[in-house]
Amino acid sequence: MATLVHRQLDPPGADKRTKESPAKVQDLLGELASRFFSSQPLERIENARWATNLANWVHARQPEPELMYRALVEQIPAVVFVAYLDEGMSQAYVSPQIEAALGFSPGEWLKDPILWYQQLHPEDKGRWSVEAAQMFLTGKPLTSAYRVLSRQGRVVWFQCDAKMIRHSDGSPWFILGVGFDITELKQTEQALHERTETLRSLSTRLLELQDQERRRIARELHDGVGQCLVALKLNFEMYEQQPREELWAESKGLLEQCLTDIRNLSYLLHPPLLDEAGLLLALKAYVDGFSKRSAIEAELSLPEVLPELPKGVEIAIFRVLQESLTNVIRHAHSKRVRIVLDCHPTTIGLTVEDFGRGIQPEVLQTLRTSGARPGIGLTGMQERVSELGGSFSITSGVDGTEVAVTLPLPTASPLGSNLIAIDAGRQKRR
Amino acid sequence: MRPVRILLVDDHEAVRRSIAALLRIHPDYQICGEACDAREAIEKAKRLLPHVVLLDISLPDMSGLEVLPQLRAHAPSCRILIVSQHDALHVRAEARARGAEEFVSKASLGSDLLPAIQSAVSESGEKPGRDERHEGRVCP
Repeated sequence: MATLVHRQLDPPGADKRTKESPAKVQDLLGELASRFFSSQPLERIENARWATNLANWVHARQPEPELMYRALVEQIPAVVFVAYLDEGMSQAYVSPQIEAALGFSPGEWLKDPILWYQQLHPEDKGRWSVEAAQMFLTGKPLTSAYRVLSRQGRVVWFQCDAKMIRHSDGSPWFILGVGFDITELKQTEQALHERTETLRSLSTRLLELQDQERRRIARELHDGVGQCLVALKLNFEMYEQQPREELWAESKGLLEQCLTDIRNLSYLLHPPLLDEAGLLLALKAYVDGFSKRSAIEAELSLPEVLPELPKGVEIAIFRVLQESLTNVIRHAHSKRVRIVLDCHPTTIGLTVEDFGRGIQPEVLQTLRTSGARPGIGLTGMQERVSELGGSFSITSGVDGTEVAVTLPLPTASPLGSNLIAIDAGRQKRR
Repeated sequence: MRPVRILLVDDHEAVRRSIAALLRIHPDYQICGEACDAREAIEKAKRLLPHVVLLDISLPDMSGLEVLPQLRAHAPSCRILIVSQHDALHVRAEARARGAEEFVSKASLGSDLLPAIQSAVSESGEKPGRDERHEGRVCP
C-alpha cells in the first residue's frame, strides 16, 4: 500500500499528542461514517458496515496502527481530512480519494494551504464560515453540504461531517472530517425539483385554461342564449297584448337562434356524437355543420375504419379540428379547407389546411418560440397534444395555413381489432 | 308635445329589435338612434341629444357603467336608464351612484320599461331634441 501521508498527522508538542489515543480517532471515524451513512442508500450503508467491521478488525488485532488506519480511510468511499486549528486552519492530511473527486492530488491539496478555500464554491463560502464558527464556538459537529469546484471547474457536492478535537486542556486541536461525494444525489434532487416546478406550472396553466373555458361558456350563455331569451320573452308579452304577425316570425327566428347557440355551447363543453357514435361520425357531422354555417367548402378525407382509440386521443383530435376550423372562420379568409385524418398502426395524424391569407410571420414566430398566446385556442391545442406525447406543427404562408398533429397510439390497439367503420354516414363497431 | 327621443344602446340585435317593437306601438316614444357599443353610443348621444338613453351594461368595448359618466358629460340633460340582464340587486345601486336615473331588468322589460321611461321623463320634464329622424347603428 502506498504511503500517502504528506504531512505529519501529529501536531507539534508530543505531550499533547499522546493524550489522544488511536482508538479515539478510530471511534470518531466510525461515528462520522455511521452518522452520515444512516441517511444514505443501502449500498452506502453496506460500505459503512464494511468500514466499521474493518475498524473493529484493526482494533482487535492491534497491528501497525497507522498503516491500518490508513487502510481504513483510504478504502471508504469518501474523502477524509484532518486540519489543524492551532495555526489558523491548515490541512494536515487528506485521503487520496480527493484526486478522483476533484482532480487534485493529495500533495497539491496540502501544499497550498488556501487551495481548499479557493475551490469552495463562492456561493457557499459565507455559509461555511457561519457553520464552521458555530462548530468552533459550541464544539458541536458540523454537518452540511457544500459545493467544491474540481480542477476542471466541475461542481462537486460534498456532504461534509466534521468534528473538532480538543487538547486535554480544552483548546482546539484539529478537525477530523469526512466528505462524501453526493453530486449524483444533488443532481437527482435538482431534476426532481425541476420536474416538480414543471408540474406546478402545468397545473397552474391547466387551471387558467379551465377558467378561460368557463368564462367563454359563461359569455356564450349570457350574450347568446340569454339575450335571445330576453328578446323572446318581450316578444311574447307584446304578442299577448297585441298579436302581430311580425312578432310571431321574429320569435320563431329567435327560437332557432337559441337552438343553434345551445348546440354550439354543447359542442364547446363536449362533442355529443363522440360518445354515442365515435370519432369518425363526430368529425363528419362537425365538418358538415361547419360548411353550412360558414359557407366554406370543406374537403374531408377520413379512413374507412379506425381502431378503438383512447378517449383522450379522440377528444384531442376533435378539439384540434374544432379550434382549427374556428380559426379558419375568424382569421383565414379562406373559401375552402382540406381536412385529412390518417391512421397508422402506431400513430394517428390530423391535418387541417386552409388556403387563406396565412398567419403573420411575427405572430407565428411568437407561437413557435414561446408556445404562448396569439389565440388561446392554439396554445390549448399544443398543450393538449403535448400532454398525450404527440407532435404539433403550424406551417403558414401567404397561400394559407396548415395545422398538423400526430398522436401516438397504444400498441395494444392494432388496426384490425375493435375496428370502427363509417359507412354511408353511419358508424358502427365491427 | 313632441315624442320622447330615445337612444337604444345594446350589442344584441334581437334585443334592440324587440325593444324597438315595444316602443313603436307607443306614439309618445321615438327611437332616434341605435348603438351597439360604447364608442357609438357616445358619438350618437353627442350628435342626436336624445331625451333618454337605454344603456346595456355588457357592451363589447366598455362596460355600460363605465361609459355612463361620459354619456352624462356629453349629453347632460338626457335621462339614462340602465337595461341589463344582471341581477338588479347588485347593479341598481351602482348604476344610480354613477348617475343613472333608473335600472330595468331585461327579465321584466315588458312590464317595467315603459313605466321606467315615463318616470324618468316626468322627473326631468320633456325636452325637445335636435332632430326627429331615427338613426340606425353603424357597427355590424
